Amino acid sequence: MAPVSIQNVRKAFGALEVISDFNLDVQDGEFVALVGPSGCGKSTILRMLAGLEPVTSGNFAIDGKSVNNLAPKDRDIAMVFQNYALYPNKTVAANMGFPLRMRGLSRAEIDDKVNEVAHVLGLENLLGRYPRHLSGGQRQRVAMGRAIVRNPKVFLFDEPLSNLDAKLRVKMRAEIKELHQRLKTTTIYVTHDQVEAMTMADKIVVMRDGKLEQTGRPLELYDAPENRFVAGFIGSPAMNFLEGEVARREDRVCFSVGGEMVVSLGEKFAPLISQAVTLGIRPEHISIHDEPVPDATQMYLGVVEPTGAETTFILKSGDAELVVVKQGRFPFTPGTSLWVSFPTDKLHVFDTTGNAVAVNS
Amino acid sequence: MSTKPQTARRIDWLPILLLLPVGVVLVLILIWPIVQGISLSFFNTRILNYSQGKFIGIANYNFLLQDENFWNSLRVTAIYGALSMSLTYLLGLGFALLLNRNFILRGFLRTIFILPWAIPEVVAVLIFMWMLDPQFGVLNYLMVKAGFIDRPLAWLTQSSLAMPALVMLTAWQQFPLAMLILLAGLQTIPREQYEAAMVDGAGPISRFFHVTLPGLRPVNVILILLLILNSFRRVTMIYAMTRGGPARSTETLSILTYNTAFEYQKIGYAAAVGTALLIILLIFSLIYFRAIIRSRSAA
Amino acid sequence: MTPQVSAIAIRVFWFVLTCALAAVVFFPYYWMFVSSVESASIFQWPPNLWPKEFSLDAYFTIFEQRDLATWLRNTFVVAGCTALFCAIISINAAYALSRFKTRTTGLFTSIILFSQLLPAALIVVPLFVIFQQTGLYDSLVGLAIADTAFILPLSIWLLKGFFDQIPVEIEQQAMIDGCSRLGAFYRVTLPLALPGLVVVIAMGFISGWDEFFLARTLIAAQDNWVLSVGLTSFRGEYTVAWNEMMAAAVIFAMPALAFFMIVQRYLVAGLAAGAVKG
Repeated sequence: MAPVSIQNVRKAFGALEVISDFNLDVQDGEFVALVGPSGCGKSTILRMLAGLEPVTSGNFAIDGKSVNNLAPKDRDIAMVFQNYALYPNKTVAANMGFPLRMRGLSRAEIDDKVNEVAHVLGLENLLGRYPRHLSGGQRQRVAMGRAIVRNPKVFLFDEPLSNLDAKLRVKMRAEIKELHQRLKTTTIYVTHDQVEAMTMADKIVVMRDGKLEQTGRPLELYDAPENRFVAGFIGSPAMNFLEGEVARREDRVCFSVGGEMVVSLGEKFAPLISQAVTLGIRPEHISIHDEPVPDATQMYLGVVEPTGAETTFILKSGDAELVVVKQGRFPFTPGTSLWVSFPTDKLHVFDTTGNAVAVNS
Repeated sequence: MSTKPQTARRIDWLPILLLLPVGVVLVLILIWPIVQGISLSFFNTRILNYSQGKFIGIANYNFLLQDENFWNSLRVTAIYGALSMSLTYLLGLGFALLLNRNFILRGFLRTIFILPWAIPEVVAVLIFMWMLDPQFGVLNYLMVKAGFIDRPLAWLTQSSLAMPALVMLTAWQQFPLAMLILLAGLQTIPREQYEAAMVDGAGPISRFFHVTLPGLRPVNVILILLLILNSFRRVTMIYAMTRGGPARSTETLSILTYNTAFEYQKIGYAAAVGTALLIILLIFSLIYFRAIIRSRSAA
Repeated sequence: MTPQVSAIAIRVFWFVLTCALAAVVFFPYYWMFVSSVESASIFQWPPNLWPKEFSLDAYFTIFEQRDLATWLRNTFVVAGCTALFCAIISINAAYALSRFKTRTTGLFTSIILFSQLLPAALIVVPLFVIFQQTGLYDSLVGLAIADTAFILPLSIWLLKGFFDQIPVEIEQQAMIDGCSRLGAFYRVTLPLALPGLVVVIAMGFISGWDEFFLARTLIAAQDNWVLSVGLTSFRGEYTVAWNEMMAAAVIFAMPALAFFMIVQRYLVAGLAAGAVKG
């Protein structure tokens, strides 16, 4: 268990810079998720921290000590790979015992620790098997067991659940989280799936194109994204974005999309008048009505997707399209007119560069 | 604190270290001799006075162009290349088609068909020399019985027959290579294409011409070039069987190079012949690598 | 005929044809065996297609009257050394080419592919001189080094294919678990590539065993002859004792065939992959 500090890290392949000036502090025992689209550099950060990739410049520190010049084996970390990287010619027990063997522990000590971890993960009956005889979920668990068994300072996970089917993924998500709550080992978890990050992490780091976009607790990112990219990346279905202009019409502050759809905003948006902005609103925050109400905008219903507990609507008006999610079931048929209104306190405003604009309330 | 140089350099040295032995061996045994061979071709050198060779510029090459033996050898090389390639390819294709179906003992029969390739070339040569023996040769006997020839022939001592005998041996020994490559090629043709052709009403013959042959095209180009390149470079089989004779009727450029150096002791001139061979090989290699690159980018 | 019956008839026809052609292809092998176990009765016209008088005399004669034992020993030395050199060099080179994608490895890949196509006939002329100057001439180890160089490109290429199939993460995992970079390779990757190692050793052995051209050029003393050179020397004699020759050929061919059987599967797969995928 140890804090991790990443300072001013750069990574370049020749002239191509893939990570530029990356900084991150991970507290002792914290579960941090690095999330972003593929190619954003999140795995590269993890692999540099593990010592598998040379660092162009900058510093990685574990427990206050720089590890840049240490070989992977001397960094006291454990890593779980996407394809699990189990040794195919070793049994489950030998796989889990290998890191201990390399550290010169005695047979008895190794057996003790392996059995203990196998018990925690429910692998007791599989210890004599070879990886090829295990299911995906079991392999995943063995890979985790091998990581846990030597009680490292830091756990590194590189997309560990991507190779599992959807159901198993949800189950393992909960298991990893529970395990972390029990072991309280500092964990850095790389994923492209924001749901995984949201559900598991204490802190999320959103990355794009080798740069850090925003860091924060999951709900902080959800409630107060600092830019349009984070706003769109976190949350599912994704936030709706409307591009248009704030204007005053008939004495009210309005938002218009290409002059067509008009949404009435509160007086607090007055400072933004005559600015081109992007308005963001999450699907679950939009209200819909089957008859005209004050300040509502008329749209027609494109597609209805009932999923049982909730219903997803795709509403259209001109070029504008809104995704709305509502609890419950609704009798609306496609093509009918509906009226939508936006609670102004749930609106996000982004300027033309994509940065969030604070609206005084 | 910046630590880039150490990390970067440590990773860079390892592959060089690992590749050092192969580099040394390849340079010592293959690359350096080739360089030496090319430079020797500008000297008048004999084996006995190797170190006292005289620089004579392109005189060896001038002589080469007027040398009847060189032109003969060029012709022999072309004939041997064309004939051995064609026969090897056709046998390979036939057996590949035969083996590309499901039947019992398929694995065993495939092994039988590969066996000629596994035999040491020298042994293959000796077996064929015995089978073609003018007095007691079993192939002579079988061919007389089958009516192909009237009486036993002296295959290896008659200049018009040595080449056919050599081509026969080459095809027997080399067709497994062609067969394996073509089998692999056949397996890349999707089943659906045959099924679609059958639905469209194509019989076995039009399926062969409209599905199989086009499907083999990329493999064909590479294989044919490979067979030609191999025939140009082949030494053991030809040398062990005929040494280029009788009357230079099987003296390919490779054999002429060797004979000039070690029979006639003219190293400089042999190097010039070898360099001419190298140039021809380079041209074909270039086409060969382009074909490989093209088939790879098409895949 | 019902469609089923004619379908079966067609299958039987193809099967019989395949077997018949297999017999034709196998015939030279058959003739080698048959001739080696018939005594003087092989010298008659018409030849006996089936052996009449079975005898192993030819085998005894060649060991008594020829230097076969010496040649056999020399050939084993050359083949063994070639296998050893080939394995040691290929393992490291193939690993480097499989795991590092740098300019150096790219250059080496081209050199290795290219050197496979160089003409042996041109190479042996200067090589003969180089070997004389360096003292490698007329030495079995020297011959093995030359044989190694000629088989290296193919063996490195095949072995690289084996390494390529082992996920690099397993090695990285081993590095995190406590191995050094090379330790991870030797302890984890190499054991997983054991079949590849067997193939490379067998290929080295076969090429060293079979080789004739270099042996004829780089070996002089009769005490250092290998089987391929020894066997072809029979030929210069006034009348060739073909039964003895075929007995020697059988002895020469057997180890090569045995090793070939070991690697057949991998060689075929590797060759196929190389040819089809480029």
